[in-house]
Amino acid sequence: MSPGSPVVTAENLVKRFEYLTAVDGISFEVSEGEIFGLLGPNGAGKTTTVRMICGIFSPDEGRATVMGMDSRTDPIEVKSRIGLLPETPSVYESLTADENLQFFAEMHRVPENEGKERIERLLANFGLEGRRDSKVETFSKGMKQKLALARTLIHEPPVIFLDEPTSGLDPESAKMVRDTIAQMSQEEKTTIFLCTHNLMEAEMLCSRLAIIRSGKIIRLGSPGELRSDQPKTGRYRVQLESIPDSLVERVGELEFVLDLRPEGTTLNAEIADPDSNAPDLVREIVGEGGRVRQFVRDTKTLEDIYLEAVRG
Amino acid sequence: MRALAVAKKDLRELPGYFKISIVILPIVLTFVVGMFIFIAGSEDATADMPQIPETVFPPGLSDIDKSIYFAVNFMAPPFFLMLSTILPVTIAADAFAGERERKTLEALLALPMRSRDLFFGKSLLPFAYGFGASLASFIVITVIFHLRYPDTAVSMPNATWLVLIFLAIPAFCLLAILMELIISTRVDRTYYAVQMGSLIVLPMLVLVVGGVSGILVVGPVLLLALAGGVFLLDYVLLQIGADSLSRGL
Repeated sequence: MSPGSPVVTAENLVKRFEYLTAVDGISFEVSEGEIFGLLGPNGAGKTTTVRMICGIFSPDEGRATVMGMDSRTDPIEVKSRIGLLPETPSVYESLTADENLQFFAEMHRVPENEGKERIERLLANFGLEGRRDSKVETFSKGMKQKLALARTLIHEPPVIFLDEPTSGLDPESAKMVRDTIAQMSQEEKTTIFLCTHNLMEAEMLCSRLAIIRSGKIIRLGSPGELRSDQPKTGRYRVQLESIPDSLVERVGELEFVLDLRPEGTTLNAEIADPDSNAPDLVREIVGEGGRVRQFVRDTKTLEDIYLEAVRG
Repeated sequence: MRALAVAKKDLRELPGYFKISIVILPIVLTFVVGMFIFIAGSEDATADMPQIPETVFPPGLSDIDKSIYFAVNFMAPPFFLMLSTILPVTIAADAFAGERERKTLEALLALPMRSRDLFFGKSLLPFAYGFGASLASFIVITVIFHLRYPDTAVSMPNATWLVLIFLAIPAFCLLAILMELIISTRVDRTYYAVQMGSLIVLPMLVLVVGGVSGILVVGPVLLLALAGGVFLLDYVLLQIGADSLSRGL
């Protein structure tokens, strides 16, 4: 792999299951150290995409690579370079935490002594050191998720695929996991591919996002780019001392005002081309005798963008 | 070796009650076969022996030796084939269906291991059990035979028995396991795999066992050829199973 080339690529990936096309021509690239998020409703094709990239099964069309290795022709090489945390914790419940990690270390050919050190370090990092020799069946859901994450990291892979990594965790543990993800990306240049329904988490962590629906990417870009892709309108909340009827009537007649809804002493307005028209809106309100206490622009959240995208 | 690590993990995962039952059952079967051989030399057993053509027996055997010969070469082999196939099949049923049921299969398939090696790894524990149980039972029965009949003209183990234990039984054991593993890749629950195994694999084995029971009399060469044929079939099944696994979750 040459320097600067993408770590993960998907080129027109297609996967069909009998009559269902689960993934329908997906393409993207992920750079080294990037946290790339894949968002979409259940059944959108996120997991199938990850499985094809990880070499678990082959695409019907297209190509996926990890660090330059083709997932179809070199699945073993791909698998040795990735860590995969599936949606369910995927830990062996009748084994102890230590036995689980030992098994995965052995499967990744981590040298025995190094494996022991890593197991100790990971269990301590995830607060499980006191439960090392306990059977996983006695663990809470959050503890199982932490152990699964430790298992994903046992061979220190340069690329990690995480499917809902904070699912089932309490807020404190979820924050710890998010901090770990951010730290791996920033300090260790680990490339992270994150599938999530947690939009706050995606916005907080991901440098770029793809929103997927019915097997197709319908938005792709940084959270900022996704927002700027939106139509050029702006929503404003204008808090006034009082709202005279004549003010509502006059402002509502302005050409650039698309929507106007008074609520108590607050005027909710959506206007076209906000950068040039917002000052005119304020001028008209003041001109009609309105005494402005607060003038706030409502920015669209990732949730708004996501919901608009998936609802088509 | 990754395949060995999979087998070790599978052994650790076996439930305690199951470990007890797979130890007890071979002991019971060995006891039953041992009893057959032990009483074969009695006068009652000799008198009750079914009518069998004289050509089946080596020349010059007394009536008691014929009864012992019948027990050793006609009645014992099917028990060994059953021991080496039926119980390993119940372990193999859990191999992939159990991983799928416990939602651990995806993480297993994401490990850097060829499908064929994973399939082979999953066959190791049931094979080690099936072959190990048969070998242990064979040793115990051979000891019983020599303690009970120090002066008999019947020889045990003879060349045919050695081919049976060290080649034919491993070949049949692997055949049953691989068939069950293929079933296990296609179903969601261990229970279904066991059910399908008992409907498909075991009846086939009963037919095979029935056909093989007289082969010890025919001699080691034919048994050797049969074991070779079954090993070839095992290789084909290993390929089919690996392909079936690589088709995905």
